[in-house]
Amino acid sequence: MAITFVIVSPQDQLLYEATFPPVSQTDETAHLREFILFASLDILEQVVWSTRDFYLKAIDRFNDQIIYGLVTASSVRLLLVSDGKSEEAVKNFLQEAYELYVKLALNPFFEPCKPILSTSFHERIQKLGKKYFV
Amino acid sequence: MTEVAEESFDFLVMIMVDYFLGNDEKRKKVSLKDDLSTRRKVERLEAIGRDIGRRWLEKLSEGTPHFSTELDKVKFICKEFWIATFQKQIDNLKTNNKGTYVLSDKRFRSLLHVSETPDAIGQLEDYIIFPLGIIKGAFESLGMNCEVYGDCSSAPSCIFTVNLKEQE
Repeated sequence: MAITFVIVSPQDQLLYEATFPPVSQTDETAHLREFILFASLDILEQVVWSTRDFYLKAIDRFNDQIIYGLVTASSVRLLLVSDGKSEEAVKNFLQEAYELYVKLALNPFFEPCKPILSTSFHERIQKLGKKYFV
Repeated sequence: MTEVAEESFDFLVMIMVDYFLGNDEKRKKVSLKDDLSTRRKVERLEAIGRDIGRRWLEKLSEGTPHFSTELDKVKFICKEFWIATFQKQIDNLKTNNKGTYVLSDKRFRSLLHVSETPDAIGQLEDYIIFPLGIIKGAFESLGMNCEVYGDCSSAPSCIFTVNLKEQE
């Protein structure tokens, strides 16, 4: 089961990206998944207006890959594309990733809308990914 | 979670004004208020508040549903945000529906322990620079870039005028 998780700023800049399992030699699929994620940003904007929840569940589909989204109050987007079927795991992962992002936002060394380079954030996301997707 | 006495925070904010805006003698000279270096110092204090406001709003709005209108966002700031930051709600909110909002707080927290003496006229505004920055940062975090002005002529009541800049 291959998962790609990205965090995108309100202006559609990529802030963070992670894949589970970590990308090996199958670069083809990794690039395709990135492409799907960015293509779904338009749909995400439409879905945001249609609901009041911050967790948007499944927003788009491409062949057998499903894209899930979560939007924060400051319009930072957390997106995830998966070809698996465990929607519960994705929902829990996204919510915990959101909490990690908020903790990161409280860090005075973090500037919003800049790429996330914090190693501890990266490690925690990796642990989270292993917990839910491996 | 560790707890900190509220008074220590109030004192810290008060002494920050002294620290960032220079010592008392220079500040009392009203003619220096338009000086470039004074403006820079004011901007610095406000920038600190803005940074804090942005992060604080991110944390506060964790898990709250989306705001469908601009007015909803302003109401959130007037209620939940104001309670969390200044321990009370806004007393009055007015708008002209064209992007200007007037928020009135009758007992503004930062002005409760500060009052003007005859030889220190015009310095009360210095004490709302930092909270003004926090408010501005909160608005920015919700995607509304704006100008915020504070009018504290009738302390401890304070009136904030928020002018939203043109959005994309």
